[in-house]
Amino acid sequence: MRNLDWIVLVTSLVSIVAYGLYRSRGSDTVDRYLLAGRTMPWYAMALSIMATQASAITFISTTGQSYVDGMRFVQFYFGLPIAMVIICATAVPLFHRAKVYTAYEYLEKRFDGKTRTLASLIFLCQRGLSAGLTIYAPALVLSVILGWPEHNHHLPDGSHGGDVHGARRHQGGDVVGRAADVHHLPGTAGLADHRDSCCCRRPVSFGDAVFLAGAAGRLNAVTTTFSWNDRFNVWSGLLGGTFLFLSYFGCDQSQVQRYLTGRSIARAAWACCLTPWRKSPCSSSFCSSGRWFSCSTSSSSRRCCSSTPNWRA
Amino acid sequence: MPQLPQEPDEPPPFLGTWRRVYTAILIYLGVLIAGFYLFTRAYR
Repeated sequence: MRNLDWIVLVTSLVSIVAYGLYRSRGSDTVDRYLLAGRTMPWYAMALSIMATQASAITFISTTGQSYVDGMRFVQFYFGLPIAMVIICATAVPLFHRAKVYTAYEYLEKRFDGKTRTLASLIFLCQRGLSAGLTIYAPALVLSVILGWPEHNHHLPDGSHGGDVHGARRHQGGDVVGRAADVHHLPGTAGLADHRDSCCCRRPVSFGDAVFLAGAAGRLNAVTTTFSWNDRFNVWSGLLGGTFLFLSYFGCDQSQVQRYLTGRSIARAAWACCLTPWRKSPCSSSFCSSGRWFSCSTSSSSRRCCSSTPNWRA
Repeated sequence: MPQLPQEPDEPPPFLGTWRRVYTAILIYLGVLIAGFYLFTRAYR
């Protein structure tokens, strides 16, 4: 880690916490704390919904999945647009008109307190386990980069991920975070190029990388063959993905809270409608980064033994 | 029994009606799948 890397790391952590504290002023009622007073603009809701789906583990796992298995993973997101249309037409108006603070409060109104308690407990257990993984994965990466024991990274990661300042601070941080994410993809490609240069001092051209990946059968973004044993194909993406995203956006409080913060049903629905336009291209970019890593490292290891690389010959 | 959900009470900022917005999203999905399919075929 160079001094500049440290400055970027510390500045980003401190600025996000400081901005969150600044934005959380005035969150002194339940309505303001949980729903930001229902005043969030549609673009903040849209960016926050996208940010909630993209944690540090997304950048690591999606890229890693593509490194190992090619681009098939993008089919997983084919169900997202269908699910968002259904959510906009059903769940968003339903929750807004019920005037609830959480998705589980609606369950109590619709059924009873026991249903609410059970659903809340399942959500908390599942979210707790998920948060543990989300914090642990970046800690592993940082431990490799810094050469420190893994447990030293959990505290700053946890403080970064923790949220005690309400919806306004959370969504404000998400908007800033999304803007920062734009820089992650070129950064990843740059890292791949850097690693490649370290191996051979000669970068892999884009054409060579695409050719190698295609020859290895890893640019398999769409698989039309139906198989019960195949996790990622266009049919599992459309059918399974739709139900998965319906449950995620319709029942998971981390998503429901986002679109409950809107001033009106229309603004909340519009924010949800914008999600699919960004998510699939984003995921394919992560997968492409993984493929780039794979091609860079494999071609580098071969090229180190060869003075005349010609991959297309 | 709660009321069945209805369409959002305001028109969307673009495209005029919610039906057009939903149609645009589904067309986008079709274009996305077709694009990825052609990409897969091109580099197979």
